[in-house]
Amino acid sequence: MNTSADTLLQTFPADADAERVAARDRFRLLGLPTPKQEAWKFTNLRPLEQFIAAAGKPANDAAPDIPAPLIDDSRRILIIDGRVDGDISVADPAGLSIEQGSHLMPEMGGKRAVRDLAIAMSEDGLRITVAADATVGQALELVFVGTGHRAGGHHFTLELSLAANADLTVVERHCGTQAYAATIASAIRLGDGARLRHVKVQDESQEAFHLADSAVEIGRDGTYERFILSVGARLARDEVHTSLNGQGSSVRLLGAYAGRGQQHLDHTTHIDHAVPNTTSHEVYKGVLDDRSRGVFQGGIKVMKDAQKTAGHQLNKALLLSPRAEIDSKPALEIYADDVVCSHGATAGEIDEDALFYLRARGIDAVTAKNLMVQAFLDEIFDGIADETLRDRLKDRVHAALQPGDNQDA
Amino acid sequence: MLKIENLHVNVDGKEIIRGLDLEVPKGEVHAIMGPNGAGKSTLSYTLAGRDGYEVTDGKVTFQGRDLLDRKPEERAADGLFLGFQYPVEIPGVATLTFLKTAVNAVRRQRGLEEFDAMQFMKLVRGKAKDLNISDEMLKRPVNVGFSGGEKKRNEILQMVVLDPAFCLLDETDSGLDIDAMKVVADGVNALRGPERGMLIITHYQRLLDHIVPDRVHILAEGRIIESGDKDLALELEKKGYASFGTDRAA
Ligand SMILES: Nc1ncnc2c1ncn2[C@@H]1O[C@H](COP(=O)(O)OP(=O)(O)O)[C@@H](O)[C@H]1O
Ligand SMILES: [Mg+2]
Repeated sequence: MNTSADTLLQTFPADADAERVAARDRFRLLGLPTPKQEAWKFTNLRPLEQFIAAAGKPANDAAPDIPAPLIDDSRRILIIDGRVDGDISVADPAGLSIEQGSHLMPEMGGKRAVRDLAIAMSEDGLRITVAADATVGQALELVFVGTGHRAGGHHFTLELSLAANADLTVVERHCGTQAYAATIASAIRLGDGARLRHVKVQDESQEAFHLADSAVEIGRDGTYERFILSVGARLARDEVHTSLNGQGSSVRLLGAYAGRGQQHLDHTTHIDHAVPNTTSHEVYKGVLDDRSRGVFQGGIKVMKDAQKTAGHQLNKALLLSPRAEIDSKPALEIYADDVVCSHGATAGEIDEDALFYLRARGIDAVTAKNLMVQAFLDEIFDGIADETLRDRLKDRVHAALQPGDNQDA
Repeated sequence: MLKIENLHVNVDGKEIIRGLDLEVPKGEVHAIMGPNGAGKSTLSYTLAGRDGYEVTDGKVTFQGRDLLDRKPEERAADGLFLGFQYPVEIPGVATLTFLKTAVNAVRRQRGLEEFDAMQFMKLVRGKAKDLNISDEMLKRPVNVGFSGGEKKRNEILQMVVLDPAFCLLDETDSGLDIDAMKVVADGVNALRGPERGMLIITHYQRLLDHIVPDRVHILAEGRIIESGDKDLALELEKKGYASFGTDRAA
């Protein structure tokens, strides 16, 4: 029988290196994750399997829809259906270097199915490095566009490596049209004192599947600030594994998600506090309408020696419809004793008293609801320093919640 | 201007308003007094159009038109303003944003041009000052962390900027000290005029020293049991609700 794993691996290259072969072998053996695995308990990839089984239908040949930049004067790199568009190689005196090609720091990230699939099947990748002490003033915007030309899916690997005291802002944006499956495996390494601001916008086609797996390692006094906005895809999972490996290192993970229709949006994070004096701060907020479903899994692990750890985690969901659903699973594993950790999850509905109050002031029910939803989400956007970017992302999420959103197929 | 005839209202299947008749002509200020639980807030919410307040019988006309089939936002645009006994907190929505959205929503429905940011600020600044409302308070989320007095002054500010034809104030005096009550009363009195009607709901007589009503009605057990001029309030204060045929304590 031809399993979906076999189908996905059909075009595996003959000249693959050992790392790829190993990833392929693991993936072939274990296949796509199923809800029987604890880490995938709330996300069933059955629709993806069905999509893969049905794939092979004639590809459309519409030109890719390239969106306007999110940051006006950024350096943009286009990745269309998993392949870097044009010649992008850079080795600039400011310390930024960008190389094309599929290679990931192999020792990073563990052996997870989505990583294995992306590593085995990627036809292209990017390695972005910033030299020690270099501050890259110009933001880097990676725009991934899916077109559905390649029905089977496309896969990509991304390596971001900042040497000591380097500083970079990256916007990673995923969008597209039609149906496709996209996977991306990332490896992010921050040297001592390095600082990375990473804004991910998951705005895939509403018919697409998006599976992302990131591994992050942070050295002494390094700072990783991540923000994800998730509004696209029929099924998306964004999984981030962060290791705070150096004293004084910190990570901030912020997320905003908005689901409509039958969207399934999964955010899974793991943070390892490996050494003393490390900090993690994590807040995700989601609005779920119709029959959409959100998943939040947040693991914090504090190793035995990691004293003076501060770890905070919160997921708040606003359910706009009785058929919308959120599954929140925080998991704290603490082996040190001198730590301050907290976690929380709330799910609520629109406050009817507030809704009536607004209406009694002349504001129609739809506008009143929008006002409250925006108020709920806006707080999380304060974590984005760039005002223009912040406003554009806010506009995007507010548009995504409107019934007539043109991204909604 | 506002005419209520034989109104019956159920809440959670229980009849709270039981055959209430009341008419407030334009240019007049009427007061409703009544013991706790008499149905004063139920009447207010019913008039403002809140869900869950089921009118089982009777009729309400506002400016000659049936009020009860209008949505809450339409009633506000028609010119009915309810000052809430318990103003609601709306986290994350700045008071100014809320006011501007409301004012423009109402103006749009009334066929008036919306205010731009400058016109709006000019309107609000002056009115806020009269009510002792600071710029800092206007930046805070609606009613969040406001004291009782601040909430009530915020209600009056909303009323003033929305320029209603009819003001319905539900226990606007509760939780106010004497100074705050004067500020609120001045705000209300400034709106009195030949084209405007008012219905002031209160539990105590003292507010009526500052806002002197044309008529006073006593509401008990879901209906008006007595009506009179302003002296009725004083009489009620002296004798208590019990002497007016209600067995509930004041
Ligand atoms: N949501 C509700 N569900 C059930 N009973 C209610 C509700 N609201 C009010 N009541 C009852 O209706 C009666 C009138 O309440 P209310 O109108 O608030 O009185 P007042 O404002 O005069 O103090 C009271 O007996 C109260 O317990
Ligand atoms: Mg009341």
